[in-house]
Amino acid sequence: MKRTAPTAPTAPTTEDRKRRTLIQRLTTRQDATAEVRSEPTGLLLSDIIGNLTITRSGHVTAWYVASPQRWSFRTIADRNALITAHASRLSELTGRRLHIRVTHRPYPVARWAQELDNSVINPLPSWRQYLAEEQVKVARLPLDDKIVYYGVRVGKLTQLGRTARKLIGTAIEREIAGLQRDIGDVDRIMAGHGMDATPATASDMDWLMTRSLGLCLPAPLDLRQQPTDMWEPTDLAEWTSGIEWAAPSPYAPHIVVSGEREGQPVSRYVSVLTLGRMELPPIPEVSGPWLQRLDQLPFPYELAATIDVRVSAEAGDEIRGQLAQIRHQVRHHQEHGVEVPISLARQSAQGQVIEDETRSGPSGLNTRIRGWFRVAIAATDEERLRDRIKKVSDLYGEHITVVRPAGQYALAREFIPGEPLSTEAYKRRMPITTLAGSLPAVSAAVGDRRGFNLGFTSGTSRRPVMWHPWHAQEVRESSGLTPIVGTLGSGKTALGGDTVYNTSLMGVPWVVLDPSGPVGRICELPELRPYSKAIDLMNAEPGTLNPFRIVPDPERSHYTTDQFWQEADREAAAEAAYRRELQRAAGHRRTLAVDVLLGLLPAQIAATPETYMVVLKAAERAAATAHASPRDIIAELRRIEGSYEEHARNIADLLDSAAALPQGQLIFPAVDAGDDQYQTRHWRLVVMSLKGLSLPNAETAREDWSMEERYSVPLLYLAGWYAQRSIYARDLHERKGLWLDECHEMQRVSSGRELMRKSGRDSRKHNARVLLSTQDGEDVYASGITNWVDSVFVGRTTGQAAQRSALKLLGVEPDNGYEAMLAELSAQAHDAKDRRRNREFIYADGAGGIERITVTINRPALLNALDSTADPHKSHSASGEANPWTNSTVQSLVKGAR
Amino acid sequence: MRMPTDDAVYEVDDVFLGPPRGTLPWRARYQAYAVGGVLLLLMLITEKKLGIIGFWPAVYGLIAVIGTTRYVMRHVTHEHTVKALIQTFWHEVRAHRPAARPATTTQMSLTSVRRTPGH
Repeated sequence: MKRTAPTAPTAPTTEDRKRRTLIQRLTTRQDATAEVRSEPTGLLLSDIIGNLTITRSGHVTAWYVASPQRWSFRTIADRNALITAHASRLSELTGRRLHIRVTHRPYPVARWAQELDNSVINPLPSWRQYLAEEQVKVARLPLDDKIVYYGVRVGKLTQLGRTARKLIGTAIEREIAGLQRDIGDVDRIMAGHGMDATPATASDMDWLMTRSLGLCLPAPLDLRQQPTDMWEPTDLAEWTSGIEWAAPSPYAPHIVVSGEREGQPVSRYVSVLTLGRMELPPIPEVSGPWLQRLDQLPFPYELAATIDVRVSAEAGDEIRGQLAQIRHQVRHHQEHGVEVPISLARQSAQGQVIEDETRSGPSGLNTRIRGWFRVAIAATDEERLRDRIKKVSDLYGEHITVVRPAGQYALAREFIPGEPLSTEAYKRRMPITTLAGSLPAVSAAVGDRRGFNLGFTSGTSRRPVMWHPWHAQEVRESSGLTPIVGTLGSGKTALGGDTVYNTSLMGVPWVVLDPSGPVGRICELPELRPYSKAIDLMNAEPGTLNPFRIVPDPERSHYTTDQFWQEADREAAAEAAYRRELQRAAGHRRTLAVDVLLGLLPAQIAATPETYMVVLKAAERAAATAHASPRDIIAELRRIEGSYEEHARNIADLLDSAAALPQGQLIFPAVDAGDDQYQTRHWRLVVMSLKGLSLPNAETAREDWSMEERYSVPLLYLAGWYAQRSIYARDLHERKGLWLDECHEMQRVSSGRELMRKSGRDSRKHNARVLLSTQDGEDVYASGITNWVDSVFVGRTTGQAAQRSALKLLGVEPDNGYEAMLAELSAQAHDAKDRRRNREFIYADGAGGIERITVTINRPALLNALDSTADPHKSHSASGEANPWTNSTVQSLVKGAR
Repeated sequence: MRMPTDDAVYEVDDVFLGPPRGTLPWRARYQAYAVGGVLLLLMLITEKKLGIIGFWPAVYGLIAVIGTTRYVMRHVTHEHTVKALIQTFWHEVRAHRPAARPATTTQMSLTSVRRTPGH
């Protein structure tokens, strides 16, 4: 039977129905229990009304779902504040019984693949095969959501109505009003900071029951979209039908849960573990939240905790009783002249501290709890179950003893809402702050569920990381700038190349500026070869990097009236915006030309104020259209008169000599070559390289640069502009990508910084994802582009200053120990092959998530293409023919000599 | 932030060394005497019911009770009390066993759930 939510417009509200049901529950209890008693295996749960569960004994529990809380990369102070806030909320539940129930809602890999497939536009022909392979890869990782439920006992329905229904109408009204007031109070507490929980919806309750009754069985895929908030017997029977729980033999170490999923019979061996003696390290200084640690398990788990938040006085009385027992033991030993065990003195001292805390601790936080923590683990066979239990024990190590007690069947029933505690064994007693340090709602979520698979989280848990690079612009209306920061060999090229490869298959056109050249090898991959082009800019036509030509004029068609809907005259506003952009483009060309020409001059000459003045004056006099040339500026330099005439002529001569060099010819065109965008427009992937360009070392002073190095820097940022203009050649709404590698050189000059700013500024409007690779996060700050940064990847970073700026870029407070982590990234793998395949980054997704991730490249061909690590076996000299001592001619000579 | 627990305070080894000025040669917890007492009572009732009365049956019975008590107390810890031991035993006895043939009916029924008004 399919359930649907009531849709009649005149239907009473949920609150009305809750109230009516509660009253009826109070007044008709006797009739209902008669049937219940005849059912020996019936559950204690009798009603579910909204987020309330009511048991046969009348206990009402309100259920809430906690929002995921961020833990990674927060400061110690922030983490402590979170624990304290959580403890404060828990302490407000004094005198109540609290249930924590952690389960998971799987996200089918097929659904992820379907949604990704739906999101692509004009994918390449190999897309389907790629998607199938990715599905297999992603299926190996848990792609599910953790759901943390809190159940708070809000009261008990006394069953006065049984005996004197008509006489005590007002009493029932009072009871209901009291209960509702209580529920309101608990709602407020649970919504507070530190708990951040909202009342469970009908769908949440539906899921809680599904996962509890089919404990550890695979999750059903056909979830109801609109389950009802009032549960009928037939609805609940739907979940129980066909499900069987059985203990194979007395004192068996597990139970067998059997049922049906998608029409197929399934069964699982389920063991319930309980947390025993605890010796927890300081949290957060040494370790993470102690219940959240279970997320590190590489298999699914279920958690059920029953907690009594105690009144301080009651806890104090208990501890005083315990102290009396200790004193008695001491006296008893002394009476018999037997040595008093040292443990008694220790226990006495600790007991006194606890007793003191319960009387005079910080207000609200002096309360204590007693609780029972159960973890259910399942496997398809006993052997695997044993392995998994061992993994849980190993996970907690010496901090928490993990026990598999007897009475598994009754322990497993504790996972079902409404069921009682099976045994008081393994009761844990602790201050409320220690319970708060468990933080089960902490999550390691990062990335989105829409994009391609980047890899997996490698921090607090292991979860797949997806990234859709255009989701930010299309849905969140954010910009699309992504800096990739890391030292040499940190894997920037691997990450960028992987992103380009995956999204090119999705049909997104990319332009990549790859100064050093390895990315060009991606174009040779069979699936990309027909659709990609590698351009060597060093051997391009003269004038290809003409600074005037590479800054395009804006397209008038990009300035539509609907963008100016607030303006009275939209047409005029659009025209004005277009004109402004035209002027800005002219300004960019002029600035770029000045920077390029100054960059070609020796540092000592370029640095003088006279040089700057004459070049600037000449540039202002020369035309700044897309068809102009830097030769116009040289011509204007020769026309300068007055006191700087000779200096201007000398500069013009120097620039003329530079123009005659092969590298200079790329900048100075002989004739206007017109629009050459046909070279890039029709390709899905264009990789522009500057092979042979010898960029100066970052540490070398400009004065010490060789002539070759001096010419290389202007060429680099000219190439950057050249690549960047591809954004404007395509439709405004079309997804597009731009990756500028080795950006650290660009931010040294104003036009380079302007290129980065322009890329960031236009990324949202033009729906472009712009990747900027650089060795130092400070470059991003120096370029003034932080406003447009959406997501950030930080790879291995060494040096204190670089680490601090990388953390700043990630939005992480420095001096909290994360600097050391940045230096350790990608350092674990001793095997070079493994290190190349798995590169570690800190990923901030721009939506609040930040985690340590491992970027995996499982495709050997892609891995080889992106591998920029030196390998002597790949050199030509490694081949036999290149070796002079194995050359056939030499061999014959050697034979002849013998 | 320190994360202390109160576990240690509740792990007092509550032993009975003997009456004043009469230290016993063994160390046993108070609980062991309680368990032993109950078991002795049960043993005596059983012997009486079976008509086994006499000195030697009582001696053998006492030895059996001591052995059984030692065995039981091996499973009684601060974590797992005598009460929990009995509860667990009861749960194990009452636990549902797998059907001899594949189950065709609902084993864990929710028929106790009432129909809510308006549905």
